Amino acid sequence: MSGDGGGRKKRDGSAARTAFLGMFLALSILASYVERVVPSPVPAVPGIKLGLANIAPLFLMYTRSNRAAFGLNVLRCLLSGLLFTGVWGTLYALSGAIVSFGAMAALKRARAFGIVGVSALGGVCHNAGQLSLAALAVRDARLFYYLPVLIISGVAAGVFVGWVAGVMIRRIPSPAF
Amino acid sequence: MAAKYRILRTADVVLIALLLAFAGAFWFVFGAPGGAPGDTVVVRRGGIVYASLPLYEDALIDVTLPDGEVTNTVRISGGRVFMEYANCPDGVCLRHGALRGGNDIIVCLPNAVTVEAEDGGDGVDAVVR
Repeated sequence: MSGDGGGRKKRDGSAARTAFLGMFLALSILASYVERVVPSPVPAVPGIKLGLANIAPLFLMYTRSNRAAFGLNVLRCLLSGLLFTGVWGTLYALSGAIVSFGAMAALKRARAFGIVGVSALGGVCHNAGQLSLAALAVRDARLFYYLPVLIISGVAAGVFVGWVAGVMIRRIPSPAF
Repeated sequence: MAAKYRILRTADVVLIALLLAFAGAFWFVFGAPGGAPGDTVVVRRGGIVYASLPLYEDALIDVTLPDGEVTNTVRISGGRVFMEYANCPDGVCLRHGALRGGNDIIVCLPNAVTVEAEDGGDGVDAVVR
C-alpha cells in the first residue's frame, strides 16, 4: 500500500494502516468521479474544478506523512485517470498532482503557513503545471492567456479544499498506528 | 497532532493576496481572453498550421492522421467556429463551444490540435500580441 515502504517488516498496526489508506484511496477516487459527472462551474475555461479529490491527500499530509499523501495521490491519479479519462488524461492529472504536491510539501515545511495557504498554493501550482504541459503539447504559448483565470480559480478551489481538510483534521481523531 | 490547530494564518492571507495580485498583473500586462476575433480560422496540430480558412465562409475541416483516421472535425458556420467532433474520451474541446474572441483558443490536448481566429496575413501581430 502507499506509504508502506515496500517490503518492510510487518509491525503492529500495519493492517490498520493498510485499511485506513485504502479507505482514503477509495474516497478520493470517488471524489474524482463525482467531479467528473458534476458540470464544471465555469464551462468556458477547461480545467476549472473544485479539486475535491485533493482533500484526502491533504488530510494525510497533515495527519500521517508526505510519503503516505504522495503515494495516495499518485495511485488516485493513475486509477481514476485510467478508469475515467484514458492515458492522456492520466498523464495530465499526474503532472498537476506532482507539481502541486511538491509546492505544498515545500510550503508546509516553512511552518509559517496554515493548511489553507498550503492548499491554495497547491491549487495554483496544479493549474499552472497542467497549463504548462498543455502549452507544451500544442506548442503554443498563447495558452498562458488563461493563466490569470486559472490562478484565481486555483486559489478559490485551494482555499475551499484546505478549509474542508482543516475542519476534517480538527474533527476526525488521528488513528494511532 | 497538535490540539491547537489553526486552519488559516496570517501568512496564508498574504500568500493568497500575492497570488491574486500576480494574476491581476498578468491580466493587465498580457490581456484577457476575449477581444475581437480575427477573420481567418487557423487550425494547428502540434503547433504546425494544418488549415487556414476564412471565418465568413461555412466549411467543415477534418483533421486526419496519415492513415486517414479523422481525429477532429472543425465546423465554421455563419461566422462561428467550433469543434464538432473529437475522437478523444474527455471531450473538453467539444464543450468549449464556439470561439469567443481573438485571444480565445479551442484546444484538443490529446491530439495537440488548436483552433483560433486570427488576423489574416498579419502573422507577427497574431503571435506576439
